[in-house]
Amino acid sequence: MMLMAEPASAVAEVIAALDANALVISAGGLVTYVSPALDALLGGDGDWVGQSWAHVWAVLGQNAPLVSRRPQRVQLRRGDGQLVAAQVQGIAISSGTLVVVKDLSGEEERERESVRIFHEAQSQADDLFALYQITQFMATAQNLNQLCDTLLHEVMRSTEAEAGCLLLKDLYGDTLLPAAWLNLGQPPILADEQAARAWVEQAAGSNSLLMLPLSAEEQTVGVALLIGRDFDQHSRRFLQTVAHEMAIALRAMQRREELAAQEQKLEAIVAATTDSIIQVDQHCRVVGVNPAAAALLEVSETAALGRACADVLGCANQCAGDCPFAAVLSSRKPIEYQEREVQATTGLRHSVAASYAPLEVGGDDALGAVAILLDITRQKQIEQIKDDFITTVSHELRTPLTLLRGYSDTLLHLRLTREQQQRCFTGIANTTAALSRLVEEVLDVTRIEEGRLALQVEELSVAELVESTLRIQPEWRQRIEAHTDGGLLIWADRVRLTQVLVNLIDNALKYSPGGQPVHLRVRALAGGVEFTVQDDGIGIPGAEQDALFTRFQRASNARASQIPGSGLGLYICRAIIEAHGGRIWLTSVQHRGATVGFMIPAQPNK
Amino acid sequence: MNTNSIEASVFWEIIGGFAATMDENSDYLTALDAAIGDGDHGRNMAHGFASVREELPALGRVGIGPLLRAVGLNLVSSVGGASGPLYGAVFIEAGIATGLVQRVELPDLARMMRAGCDALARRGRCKVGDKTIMDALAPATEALEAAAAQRTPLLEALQASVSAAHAGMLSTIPLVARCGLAMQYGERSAGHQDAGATSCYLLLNSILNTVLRLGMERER
Repeated sequence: MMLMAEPASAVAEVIAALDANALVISAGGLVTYVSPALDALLGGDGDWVGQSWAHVWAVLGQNAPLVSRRPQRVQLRRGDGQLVAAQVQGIAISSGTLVVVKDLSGEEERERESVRIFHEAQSQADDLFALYQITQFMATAQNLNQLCDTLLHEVMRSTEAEAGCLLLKDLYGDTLLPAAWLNLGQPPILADEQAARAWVEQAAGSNSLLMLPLSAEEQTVGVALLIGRDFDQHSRRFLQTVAHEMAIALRAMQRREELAAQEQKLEAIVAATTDSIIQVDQHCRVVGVNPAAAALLEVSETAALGRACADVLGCANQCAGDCPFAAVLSSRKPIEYQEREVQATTGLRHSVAASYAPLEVGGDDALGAVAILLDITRQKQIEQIKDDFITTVSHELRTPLTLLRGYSDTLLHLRLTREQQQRCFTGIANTTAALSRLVEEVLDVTRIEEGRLALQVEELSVAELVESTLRIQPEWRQRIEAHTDGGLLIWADRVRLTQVLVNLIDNALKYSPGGQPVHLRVRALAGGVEFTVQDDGIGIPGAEQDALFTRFQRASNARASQIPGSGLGLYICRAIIEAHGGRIWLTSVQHRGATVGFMIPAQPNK
Repeated sequence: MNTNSIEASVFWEIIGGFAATMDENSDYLTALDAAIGDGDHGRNMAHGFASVREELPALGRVGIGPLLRAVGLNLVSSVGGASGPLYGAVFIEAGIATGLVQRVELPDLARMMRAGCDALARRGRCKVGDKTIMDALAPATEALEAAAAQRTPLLEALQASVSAAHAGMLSTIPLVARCGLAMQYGERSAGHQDAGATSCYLLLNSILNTVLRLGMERER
């Protein structure tokens, strides 16, 4: 126990009162006072009062017996040999130097503790950061391939592996399939984890092998196999940290790709189907049209989106009343078959066979509806033509049959003069001719339909052709005014062309009930010869003119006037002219006659 | 100011300098990052160091180690993206290596830098040539260590260290990124200077500038 000197001055008194660690050195370098607190701090290993400062300093384990005003950090050696961190500062006072010693051992202890905590936190932060980095890759990967490549690369980089591979199970199988590999030859397809391990163990040779099972939802998603010189604690910790997240990300990406593939398949079907598919939301706004629908309605797929269905379908009921979408949306029941009409943006109308169904797209309120439209315009037209055919042909047959019956009844039952009998026989002959012409026309139509309309083309004199045509019916001479340019030659089928001329002349006379003259003009044009047959008869309503060249189409005013006709003549004429490489046309104003013209090219049609 | 040591008070100035430098270079760093990253490095660093400058005075006069650790902790949470945890690790480990001292000399500085550099390697799992902060920090650390071994004066050592960081920063231009998000750019990452290496160089250069400025002020 150090012998304490009494405080020699007021300074000592103050120090003792403050319980400070301090000692006082005289100007001569001798210790004059040591505070009780300092003595206790240093373990009280001797009586320093009267000793030289240098001696005391050496006892405390210091080399340089210097004390400066600037606080110095030192390690003082206690009497028991323990080191004490302290800060020493010398303050000049009247009786020498006051040396204040600040005990830093508590601070050192706290510092050691905080360093320990920091180290621990840093290590956890390392793991978190590894996880953060790898999740960034998971979040930004575009597809499974990229994700596998990046994850394997990241895992290899972090563990300094030299080679490695990532084997994955697909969504439905148990086999581990290679998904990514680096610095390995093509890894094989392996039956299970064990086989994978065995294979890579062999590949690893003398290197170390690390196998990382990747599991999520209690299922093995895959396995990462790494080959390297050594996998330290740090690498193992990193892998443990990321394995689960990797497994989840890989499985999620597999699901995403599977879904996308299914969606693509569906989209391809919808895009490829020739049925028109139109989808609307709960407000009857169009939210999807497939290419077939866009083509039918003559609207671009994007332009249709967001518009009211009535607008896109050209429907007049404005999504109310008769609207099948509205009906399906409110009843939530499908409409299986309904024939309707839709109107394309160009105004063209189509008959469609439609089916409608409600469509649930996710949540309760997200109801929509879908319509599948099959364009049956063509079938409708065919049905119409069939009906027209039956009506026309039966009518055209009935008229001559009635006539024939009339003639034969007259011949059978009445006593007729020879002259009267002759008239009946002529009537029978004419009617039979008309009948056989009708049969011939129907046969011609069949030939045209089947592409069997063969031409016997030869070089013909136009003047001679016109002359021979006019000779067929002697009475034509009185009503037909023919104007033919001289010396014209064409390549054509004599019989067929005559058939056309007869047909046109016949029509012109038939539809000019007033007995007005008919003009037949033939003239040379650049590239061919033009024939026109012009009458001043009842004419043809403008809207019906084009249709007359199709089968069984007759002008409405012709039908109304009870003028007989099969509706086949102009159709056959068009086929014959087109077979010659020419074209046929018609101009007319109703009540003011019609002109039908055709052009036969000068060069024979090859 | 002692030309061979740096006082704790100077560290406060250095940290203020970091904030000013990151603020000045925010757009430049962001432009570099935009080429092969998510284009937020400049803004993130400026934001982080502004936060450091704002919150540090509350620490009071602590030793250099605790100061650097506080800087690191702040950066971890205030700098967005990967840079926060990376720079945070550098400052925290440098701080741990420094301890409670109020003054450091060149060998201490070299030790601090080495600790920071090792921390970066560990946390970032990166090495020189990966096109990261490391490409500037590693050569700067080696230059400082070499200078310390040769007892080079402090200012000269700092200059050598900054030059090495600058060369390291430029060396990232032709590199293909092997670390971080830039990795996804693959070969396309070549031809661009790495934003992280650039911010590292700028920070080291800022240390030199602060030390020089304080020296001149003292002489005046």
